Formats: sequence, C-alpha cells, structure tokens
Amino acid sequence: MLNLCLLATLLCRAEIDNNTVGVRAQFDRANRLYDQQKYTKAREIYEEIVRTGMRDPVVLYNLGNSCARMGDGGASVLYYSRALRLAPRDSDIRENLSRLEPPINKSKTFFLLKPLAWVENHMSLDEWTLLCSLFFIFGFTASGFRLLFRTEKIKHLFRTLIILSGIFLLLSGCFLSLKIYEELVVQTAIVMKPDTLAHSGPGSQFEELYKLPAGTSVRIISKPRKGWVRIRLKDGRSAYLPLTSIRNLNT
Amino acid sequence: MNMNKLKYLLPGILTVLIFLCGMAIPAQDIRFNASVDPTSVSPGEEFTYSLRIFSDSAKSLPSPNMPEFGDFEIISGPNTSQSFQFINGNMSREMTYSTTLRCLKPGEYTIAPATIKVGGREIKSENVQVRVVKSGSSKVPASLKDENLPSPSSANANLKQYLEGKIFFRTEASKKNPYVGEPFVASYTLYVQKGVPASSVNLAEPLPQFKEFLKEDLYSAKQLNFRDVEIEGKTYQAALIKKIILVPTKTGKIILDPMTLNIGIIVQQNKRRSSHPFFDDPFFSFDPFMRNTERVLVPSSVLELDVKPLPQPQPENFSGTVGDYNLSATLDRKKATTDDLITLTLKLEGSGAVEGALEPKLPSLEGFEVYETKARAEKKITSSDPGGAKVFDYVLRPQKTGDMAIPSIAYCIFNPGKETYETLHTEAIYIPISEGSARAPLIISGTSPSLSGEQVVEINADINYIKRKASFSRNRRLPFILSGWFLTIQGLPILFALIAFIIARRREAMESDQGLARRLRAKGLAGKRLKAASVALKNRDPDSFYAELSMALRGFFGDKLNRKTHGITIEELKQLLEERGIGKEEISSVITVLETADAARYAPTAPLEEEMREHFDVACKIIQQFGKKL
Repeated sequence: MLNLCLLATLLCRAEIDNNTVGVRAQFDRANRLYDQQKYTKAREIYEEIVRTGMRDPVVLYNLGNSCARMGDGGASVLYYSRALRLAPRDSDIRENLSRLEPPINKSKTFFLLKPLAWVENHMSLDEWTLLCSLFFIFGFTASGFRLLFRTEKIKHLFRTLIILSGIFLLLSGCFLSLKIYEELVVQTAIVMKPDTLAHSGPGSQFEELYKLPAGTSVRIISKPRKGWVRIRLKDGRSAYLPLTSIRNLNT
Repeated sequence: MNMNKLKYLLPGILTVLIFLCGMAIPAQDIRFNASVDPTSVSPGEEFTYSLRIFSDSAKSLPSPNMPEFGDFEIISGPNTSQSFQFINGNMSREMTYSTTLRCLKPGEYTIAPATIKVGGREIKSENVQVRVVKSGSSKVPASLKDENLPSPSSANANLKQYLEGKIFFRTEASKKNPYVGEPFVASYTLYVQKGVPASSVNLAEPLPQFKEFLKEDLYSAKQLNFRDVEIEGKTYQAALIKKIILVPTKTGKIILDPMTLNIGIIVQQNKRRSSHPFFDDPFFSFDPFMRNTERVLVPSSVLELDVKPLPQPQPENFSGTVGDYNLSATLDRKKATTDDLITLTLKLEGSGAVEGALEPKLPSLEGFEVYETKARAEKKITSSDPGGAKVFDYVLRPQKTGDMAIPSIAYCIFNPGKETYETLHTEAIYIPISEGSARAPLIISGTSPSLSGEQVVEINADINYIKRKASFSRNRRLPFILSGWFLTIQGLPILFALIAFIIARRREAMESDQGLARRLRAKGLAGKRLKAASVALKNRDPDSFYAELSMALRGFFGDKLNRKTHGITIEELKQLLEERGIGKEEISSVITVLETADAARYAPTAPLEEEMREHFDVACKIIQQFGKKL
C-alpha cells in the first residue's frame, strides 16, 4: 500500500515536472523571439503560458515588455501591475510600470503613512498570508506547550512568546487585511485603449466628461449595466466606461 | 295597374315632384362677394378679408373654399356670422366669413377668388387688391416718420382717430446692416402720450419667432416701467417691452418679426342729458357706471435688415468666428516637472457672439502631450454691444526636460468693425521642465523596420529588458488565503492547543484528587504487573509469577478502592467489594484467585504450566471486568 502511494506521488511529480519542462521550453522560445524583436509572436507565447494558469511574475513582466514594445500601453500596464502583485520587491517591474503608467495613477500618500505604505507594498498577499500564519501557528503552539510544562520559568518564557506572537499577528493581520481588501475585495481594472471617453451615464448618449489614457487604473464601483460600468479614479472622480474598454486586474 | 290605385298615387307623386323642384336653389338667387378693409395698410398692420354669401331664400348656404393667402400671415379666423332679413313676407339670409391678415413686405397684392359650389355649379368671388404701403401714421412726430410707425387699429373709428400719433410701438436695432454671424440688439418700446388713459397692455398673438436668427433674450417685461420722454415738445411715457440679442444666420434682406400689443383704453360713454340743468354740472359728470375699456391693437414698426455676407475669398485658416476680439495665452504655473500636468488657457475676449466662438486649433506642441480640452463662455452684455470672453483650457503633460516653448497660436476671425479678416496671435510662452520622480513615459513616436522585418514602435524612453529566469512554481489561480489545504493547516495548532489543554486539566484533576488518580492509573499499573507475570510464566518461575499476579490483583483493587495496596487482606477486600454491591460469585472468583496465588507461592510442589496459564487468564479477566465496574 505504501509502495503504491509512493508510486502515485512520483507519477504526479513526474507529470508536474513534464508540464514545467514544456512551459520552460515555451518561455525560452518566447525570450528568443523577443531578442529577435519579434514581439507579436513573443507576446502570443507569453500569453499562452499565462493562460495555462502559470502565475509567474517573470512571465507577466516579459509579457508586459512585449506589449510595451508593440505600443500597447494599456496591456503593458495591466501585466506589469499583475506581476508587481506577485513580486512587489522587483525593481525592474516597478521601474517599467512607473515609466508607462499615466500620472493619474500616482496618488500622493501622507508623509507619516509612507513607511507603512512602503512595508505593505513590498510584500505580496501570499507573503503576508504566510507571515500571519507563522505568527498564528507559533502563538497557538506556544500556548499548548505552556499548558504542558510545569516549570514556572518555562511557562513564563512561553507566555512572553505568546504575547509577542499576538502583537506581531495583530500587526501583520492589519497589513494582510489591507492587502486582501486591495487585491481581492476591490475590483481594480486598467483602461486598455488610449483616449477612452468617460461618460456621465451608462451609454454613449450621455455627456462626455473627459478622456482617459491607456493604462489608467480605475476602481469598479458598480455592477455592469447594459455593457457599461461605473468607475472611480484615484483622484475621486467617477464616471461610466464601456466594459470592453477595461480589463480587470484581479483575474 | 289598377286604375283606382293610380288615382290615389298620382297626387302623391305630383306633390313629391313639386317639393323636389322647390328644394333646388336657383344659382341666380346666391350672391357671393369678397372684400378687404382697409384696402391700404402699413407693413405689419392688420386688415380684414371678408367673404359674404347672400341668399334670397332661407335655405342653408354652402361653405366657401378659402383662397391661398400666400404672402399674408393669418392672424385669426375665419370667423363666421350670419343674419336674416324678413321683408314683405320674404326671408333672406347672409353669411359672412372674416379673416384677419397682415403682411410685412410693402407692395401691391392680389388675393385670389374664393369659390362655392351651388347646384353643381362653382361660383367664384372677385379678386381683391391690397396695397401694403410704408406710410405709417401721419400724426407721429416728424423725427420718427422714417420708421413708418403703424397706427393703432380699433373697431371704434373715433377712438382710432383719437389715438393716432399718441400711441406707437417702435422696433429698434443696434445695427441695421450686420454681417452674417454678427450679433446686434433688437428692442421693442411702447410710447404712450401723457394723458392717454391706457389701462392694460398685453402681447397679442402671434409672438415673433425670429427664425432666421440665433437669439438670446435680454429682457422681457413682466411689469411695465414707464419713463418720460420728450419728443418734439410732447411728453410720452416710454416702456421697454422686449430686448433680444439676435445673430443672423442668413444673408440678404430679412424683416425683423414685428410684435403687436393689445392695449385697453378707458373710454367715456356719451353722458345722458339730465332732467334739470343743475345736474349737467361737471361735478355730476363723473359716473363710474358710464366708463368702459376698449381694446386697440398696436403693431410695432417693421424693420428690414440687410444682412451682409462675409467678404470673399475667405482665408484658409478662417475659424468662422465673427467679432472684435483679442486672444491671450497663459499657463497655470511658471515651472513644472515631467510628472506634472500643466493647463494652457486661451482667452478670446471682446464683442461678438462669444458663445459660438470655435476652438482655436493648436499648433504642434513638441514635448507636450495634450490630455483634454475644456471650454467655457463668460458673457458680458451692454445695452448695444453683446460680448464677453470664451476660455479654452488645454491640459498638457510635459514629455521632455529643458526650456520648453508653447509657440504662438494663431486664430483668424472676421472683424465686422474693420470689415476685414484678421489673425490674432498669442505670445510664445517658455516654461522650464525638470525631471520628475518617475522616468519619462514610453512615447509612441513612429515605426521603423526591425531586423526581422516586423514593424516595431520607436520609443523615446527605454524600459528594462526582459528576464530569463522564472521559477514556474505558482501553478495555481487562488492565493494561499483562499486555498483549502492552507486553511486546514491553520487548524492544526488549534487542535494541538486543545489537546494540551485537555491534558493539563486532567493532570490538575489527578493531582488534586489522589483517589481519582489511583483509580485512573490502576489498570495501567495492573497491566504492567501482569506483563511481569507473563514474563515469569515464560521463564517458568512460579514464585515470581504468583507474586506478580497477587500484587497485580491487590494493587488493582487497592488503587480502585483507594486502600493501602500492601496491607489489604482478603477479608477486607471481600467486605469492600460487598459494600460496592459486587455479586457473590464475582467476589468469590477474585478471592479464589488470590488464595490460589498465595497458596501456590508457598506450595511444596511447583504448579503446572497450564494451571499457571489458567490463573493468569482469570486474573486478566478479573482486571478487565472490574476495571469497568469500579
């Protein structure tokens, strides 16, 4: 029985490895095409890799580069933004995104909150989740051990560890909550086409308010209605955009 | 046919024939004529076109087909009236159809005949001639004679004669020969000579439409504010009725729509002669019951404008804007970075229809990207010169660093005052642009052939190159926090803590209650001793075997009953078990094993292995059985 389980595990692992090998080969091929300046084909292969479910920041970054070289500013900002969510400390992704996204995406942070914003933005959702989980596990395990041990000194030590775990859990929990809110609760989208017209109502017959450049980050604040959706910009202005002109950052 | 029947039928047939003959109206009994009153009118003055149908019999009269009035505007009608006359036993009937018309253009006009159908024949009225002459009232002040102010019209001829020259309604325009697109102000003012008892003033239908103009109302009187005006020694009370800005949209001769006022004039009826001269005193002449109001219609003068077309040829860069303007350009800041947005404001200020001014075409702004454009108009209107300012805001984003220039912006307009086209220029504006915190963005500036032959986009600011190393470890769609196995793992430390809690509580209970502790561990300890006994059994050591067996049983019952293990006797054990309600047979089995174990230890001969094994099994069974009961 044990042998069968081991065999099954090995087979699964082999399957995963085969898939990874195939994806790696595709990735290398796409990189070569990029080197040859065949950006359209390179983009197609990168997109194919992403469609398989591979959430790799490097693939998304390279895909963003291909879109940028093709002049598709909206798509490049979209893929850079997705890559940044997975690898927030990657300076290349940050720099390229900073260069390509329109100024309207840049919001000013109150100077006292800047260090907190820096900390929050330099770890991904998964990293914050693991950190919280670590403090959580540590805290409960320490609680269990404190109950089992009789010696006062050891009990005192574990109590200190429990308190520290609780504080760090609370802090990391706050950051995790913010991250969950930003990445899972709030629907963020990127405007894909340049000079997209924002209207005052859900239809092109409503007054045109202003144009949005490609790459503008918008927050979706209503459900789609007749192919239109209400959005809010970072400066607080709201308007309606056609659903076809934006792509959700979360998917 | 039976002759008797024919005799009765014949009178009836004759009666019907006579009746039918009587029904037919001979055409020579109908008279039909058309007329106008008056036959000569001023432009805009109303007149009445009447159709009369007269019959010598009282028979019903056919309705006429009205003629086409063409250049005439129908003010009201046709209104009908009829009258009957009975002379020498003969009744005659007359129907009159009256239509009120007016014409704005001077000239001689002919109204086509109307028709009626009588007895299968069509009868036409005569043509009617109307002269529309720019004569106006002859009694108006001499300085206003050129305006051809029409006289008030009233059914009361005496009143009409009395009011002539005393009430008139002027149309004035700030410009009589404007260019197309050039605004001017039209005003309508009522003049009433002091002493004329006017009681109420209302606008009469139809109201002017100004179809050939763009219009904006400046003033519409809700309440008349009269001011005294001296004209040729006479004092008039003048009140502005309406003021409007008009922008002609067509060229050529255009007649400004006139207006008509319906004014109530208080008149005195003829005083009755009293029975005694004493009552003819003027003191008695005031009699409120002898006063009434008569309505008169006062049309405004008709003003003809000659709208001039813009001179040809028009410059290629002509914006379409007409007026006397200045153009200025300003930026909302004196310096900026590549992160900032700059607003370029172009202000077109002056006199003209500023709201309709078109957006200036920006030249190529090198180093700037135009994000959005907004326009707003600030109107300022004086009594004769409409104007104001129109502001165009352009939001720009700098793309390069250095001393950047907004070049001079040209805007070609037509100045009606100078009667020429002129190009307005703004001054060039220089602004230093420094590097922002973010790098310059990607700018798509063109295409160039690449090595592969594929068209690529040339970019001004470079981006970091692609990466080669990817881990491909994230083959999942959900983040950790939403995955099932992750949540399961979080449950493990909770489970551990729970178990530790239970253990700690049990330990505390055992430490506080010794009897409980002994009961809880009795089976375990007995088990150890039985294990030792089984080892002794294997080694065929009956002394050790029975010693361990006895200790296992005594220890077990001592722990379960919370008695001293070593000192417990069989009798004491028996008593304790009886107190616990254990059955005699069970007690007996326990006693038997204990006695056997004690006896075997001191027996001279060694017991058989089967016996020892049997005793072992019984002891195990007892411990198992009493483990649950005690």
